[in-house]
Amino acid sequence: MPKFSIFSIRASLLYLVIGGSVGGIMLVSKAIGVWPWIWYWRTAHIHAMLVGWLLNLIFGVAFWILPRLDAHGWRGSPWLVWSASGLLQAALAVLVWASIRPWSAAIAIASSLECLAAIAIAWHCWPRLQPLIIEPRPAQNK
Amino acid sequence: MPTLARYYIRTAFVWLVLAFAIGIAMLTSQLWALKSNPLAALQIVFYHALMVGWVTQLIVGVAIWLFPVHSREQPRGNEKIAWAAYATFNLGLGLRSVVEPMLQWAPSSLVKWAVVSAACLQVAALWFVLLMLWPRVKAKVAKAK
Ligand code: HEM
Ligand code: HEM
Repeated sequence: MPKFSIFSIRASLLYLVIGGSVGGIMLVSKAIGVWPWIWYWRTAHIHAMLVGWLLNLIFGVAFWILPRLDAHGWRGSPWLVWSASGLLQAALAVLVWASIRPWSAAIAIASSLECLAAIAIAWHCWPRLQPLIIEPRPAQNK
Repeated sequence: MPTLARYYIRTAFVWLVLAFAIGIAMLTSQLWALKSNPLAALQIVFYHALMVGWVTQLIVGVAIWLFPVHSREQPRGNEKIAWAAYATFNLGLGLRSVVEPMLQWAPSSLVKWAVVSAACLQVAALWFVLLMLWPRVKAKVAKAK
C-alpha cells in the first residue's frame, strides 16, 4: 500500500472512532439527560462520519487499487491526491469548528475547499479508470 | 473469502434489508396522515441501520478480506479482536435500534440504561475495529500461507 493510502485510510479510521465516540456521548445524553452541550457536536458527528470516515477511506483505497498507468506500476503523480486530501482535511476542520461555534463564512469556505478537493481527486482518478490491459501470454507449444 | 469476512458481509446484507423494511414502514405510514406518527421515532434507526449496519459493516468486512495481510502466521491479525468487534458492533446496533425509539414510545429507567449500554457497545465496537485494521494498513505485503 502506498504512503498516501496509508495516511488517508488511517485518518479515516481515526475519524470513525472519534466521530463515533461523539455519537456515543450524544446517545448517552439523549437517554439520561447529561452533558447537553454535546448536541452542538451533532453536525460535527454527521460530517466526521460521512466526510471524514467515508471520503478519506475512498480517497485512500482509490489511490491504492485503481488500475496503474504503466507496466512499472506508476499510479500517477501523487501531488494531486495529497492536495485533494489536504483540502478535504481543511474543509473538515472548518466544518467541525463551525458546527461547534457557528460562523457565517464557514459554509462558503468549507464548500469551496471541498469542491476543489473533489476536482483534484477526480482529476487524479480519471486517467486510471480504464480497462485492465492484460497482455496475452506468448504461446508455449505450438 | 475468510470466515470472518463472510460473517461481516452477510450481516451487512441483513442490515440492508432491515433498513429498507424500516424505510418502507415509515413511508407507508405517511399514507394515513396521522396527527403524530409514532414511526417518526425510527428515522435515526433507519439512518444508522443503513450507514452503520450496512455501509460501515460491509467496508470492514471487505477490508478484513482484502487489506494487506498482517503476517504469515496471523494473516488477519488477532482474530479475537475481530470477533469481539463483530459481536459488539451488531449487539450494540441491534439493541440501540430497539431501545432508542422506545425513549419516545415508552420511556422507563430500564430503557434509558439499555440505551446507555447500547452506546457503550457501539463505541467499543469502533475501537475494536480500529485495533483490528490499523496494523493491516501498511506498505509491505507478507504473503498468506
Ligand atoms: C458508534 C456509532 C454511532 C453512534 C453512537 C451514533 C449516534 C448518533 C446520534 C446520537 C445521533 C443524533 C440523533 C438525534 O438527532 O437524535 C446521530 C445522528 C446521525 N449519525 Fe450517527 N452514530 C454512530 C455512527 C454513525 C456512522 C458510522 C454514521 C455514518 C457513516 C452516522 C451517521 C449519522 C447521521 C447521518 C445522523 C443524522 C441522522 C438524522 O438527522 O436523522 N452515525 N448519530
Ligand atoms: C464542505 C462541504 C459541506 C458543507 C459546507 C456542509 C454543511 C452542512 C450544514 C451547514 C448542514 C446543516 C447542519 C445542521 O442543520 O445542523 C449540513 C447538514 C448535513 N450534511 Fe453537510 N456539508 C458539507 C458536505 C457534506 C457531505 C459531503 C455530506 C455527505 C456525504 C454531507 C451530509 C450532510 C447531512 C446528511 C446533513 C443533515 C444533517 C441533519 O440531519 O441535521 N455534508 N451540512
